Amino acid sequence: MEKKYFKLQLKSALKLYPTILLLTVFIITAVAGACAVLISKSSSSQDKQKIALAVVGDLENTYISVGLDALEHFDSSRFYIDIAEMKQDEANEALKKREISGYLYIPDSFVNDINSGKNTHARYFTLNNPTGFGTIVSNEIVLVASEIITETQNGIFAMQDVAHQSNAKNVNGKTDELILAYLTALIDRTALYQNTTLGIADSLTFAEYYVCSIIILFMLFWGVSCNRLFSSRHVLFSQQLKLGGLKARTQVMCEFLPYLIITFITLCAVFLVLALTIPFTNLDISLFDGMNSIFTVIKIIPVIVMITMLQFAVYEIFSHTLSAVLLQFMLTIILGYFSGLFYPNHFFPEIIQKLSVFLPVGTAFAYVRGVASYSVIVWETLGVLIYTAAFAFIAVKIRKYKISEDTK
Amino acid sequence: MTVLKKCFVWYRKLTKRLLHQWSIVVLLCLVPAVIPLTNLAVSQESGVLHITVYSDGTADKITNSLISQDSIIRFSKADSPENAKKAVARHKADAAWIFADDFLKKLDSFASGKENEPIIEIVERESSIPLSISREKLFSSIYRDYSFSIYKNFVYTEISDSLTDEKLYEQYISYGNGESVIDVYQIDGKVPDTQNINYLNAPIRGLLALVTLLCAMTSAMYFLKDQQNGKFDWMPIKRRLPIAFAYCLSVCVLASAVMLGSILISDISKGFLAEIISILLFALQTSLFCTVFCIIFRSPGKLGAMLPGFMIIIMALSPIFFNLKVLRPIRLMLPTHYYLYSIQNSNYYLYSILYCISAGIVIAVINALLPSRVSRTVI
Repeated sequence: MEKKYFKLQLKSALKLYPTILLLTVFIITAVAGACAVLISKSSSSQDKQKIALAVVGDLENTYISVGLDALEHFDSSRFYIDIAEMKQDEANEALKKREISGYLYIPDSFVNDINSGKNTHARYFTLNNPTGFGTIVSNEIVLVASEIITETQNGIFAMQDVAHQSNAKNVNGKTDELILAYLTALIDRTALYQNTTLGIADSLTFAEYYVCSIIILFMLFWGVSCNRLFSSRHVLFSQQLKLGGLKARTQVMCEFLPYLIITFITLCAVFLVLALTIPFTNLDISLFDGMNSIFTVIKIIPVIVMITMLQFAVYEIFSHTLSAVLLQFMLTIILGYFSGLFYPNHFFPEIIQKLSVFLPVGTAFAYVRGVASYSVIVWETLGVLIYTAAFAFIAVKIRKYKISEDTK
Repeated sequence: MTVLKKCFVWYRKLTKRLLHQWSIVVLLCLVPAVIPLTNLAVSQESGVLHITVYSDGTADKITNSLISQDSIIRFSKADSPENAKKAVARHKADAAWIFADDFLKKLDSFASGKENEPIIEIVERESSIPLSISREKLFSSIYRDYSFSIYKNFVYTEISDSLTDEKLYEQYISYGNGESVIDVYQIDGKVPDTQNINYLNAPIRGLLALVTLLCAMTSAMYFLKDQQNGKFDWMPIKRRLPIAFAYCLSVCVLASAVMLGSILISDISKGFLAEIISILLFALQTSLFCTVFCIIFRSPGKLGAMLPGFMIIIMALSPIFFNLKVLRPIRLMLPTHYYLYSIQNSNYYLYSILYCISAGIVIAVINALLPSRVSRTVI
């Protein structure tokens, strides 16, 4: 009876598989398209990550034009900031289109006013709701620039005062000399640091981190595609099976295993496709490096079991398919957000980082990241196993409850 | 009054079935319930980078000022250079800044040109743009002392060596009024509310919009299911599209109310009036968008099956987590695009209205082209 029911379920799953696969191909195309843009944005070229800023207003002044020239051609900031000279209308339009993160408006005679101690302010314009990374970072850069100008101004004015008090000759010449000393110090600022890069030995690059995130996201969305597998279930049928001697636990297992098998087959296919295509891209992702992709899919079997079990439990709790699909989406978005699938988890405060490890998606994600970075993942494995057992327990209990309710 | 009453009766009829599903009610309540968690995340110390700083007593003032700053970089203190490096190696920090012992003295020597060796050791996990930018933050943190040293050494060598360091420092700080020479404004001319700027709660609005869109899609599926079951067989086909629109709008209004409540209790609200205008326009756009889906997908199964893919595409192309500048024609079709931009740019209110008019015309044209025969599966 058990074997027969399992075979029947497997047959039914395989019959629906082409349709599910077709939908999955659509989902993969959607996810892959989005991720390809994202990953290429992060790793292919540093130019694409540069913070784009614009300068408008009085750009004719010698100091301003020399400063802009320095920023564009030989200052270390040229590697991460792109500065364009624009007219205010153009800059406004570019800002609205988010082509730039902000623009600096330099009022007429700004430099002369600063030189003469007048309190003239430049204005930096940013978006109305400055929440993007580039915008927030550019705001910080502006504050840094402001601080440097203020301190330099203090030094120059203080020197001029001391020079006047000491009856020094040629104060203007000395001012120019000091400005030059400040400019030299500013451009040579990298000489203050000694930089060592440790490399990423036991941790992941940005691209690898997001590949792990995509694996989890794919599994979560895969459950949504498989709704047709579960939509035809009826309590009366479960009750009849019970009368035929098939316990709730056995029923759950016989229905779950075919789902697990087709999930595993699909993931193997996805990994195979990635292993064959990634070498032709400029992405360096060790997870899909030839044979590594096969080992990776084997190593993440506990996570595959856990997530499929979670989805099975959701379909068991919400017998209405539409509600189950809605819940899967919500879970993916909410748990995914707090578990670091969208933003890297180190962006979050420590309390959320600690909490996320205890969330089912967080545990699964930590496990996959551990596998990808060849780290020891004892606690993550334990967490995944506990969650799998808990979801299986919930699914069986609910099935039991449904059967008993119907019998009453 | 009678019209209003009629509308209310219809609204109740259209939403009753959905609200009778306890699971839908739970899901709608789940959304505002998550907001306090995001508020907690925002209120805690966080940053896109974590940098650990070591200094002996001489640079403590600099370290403390870095730690107390409101920045997207999270700074922490390390008790030894070795521990700072270990934190980076163990992925506990993205970088370590180790100030040389007797830092201020060495900085002074560096400014005078007597010292050429680096005086800050930076250890990074990998080279990245945010880490490069963080070094500017480091420079600005030491710049006050560095600038003073440059000025002091210049005075001693070029003007007079009879003055004391204290006297020169007094002169130096007498000009500092603590005022920034660059004022920051939003594009609308207002001063940004820096207290409420946080990248962590930035995607909340977009995610809430996605939930509303999802609810409207669900409603479209209900309409298609009802049509498939023959509920509208008595009705001429051409009159069914307004019904489809009413199905979507009724749920959209409900989900939008939840969305509005969630936004108001979160830290991202831009004021009640601005929020309500944006949300009303969004609800209208979303209802029209989903009505078009009712025309394209004739069966609820097909729409349900394609839903995950659509949601991923919408999530990727809307400016929720990332602002991808690809597939502009598709982005222009998404209601989320207009809603999320309308918060930053009031021109998008006008674009939203234009979107509604265009979608309305498209639906009306399709409606006019529909055959008048009665069919269960075709609108």
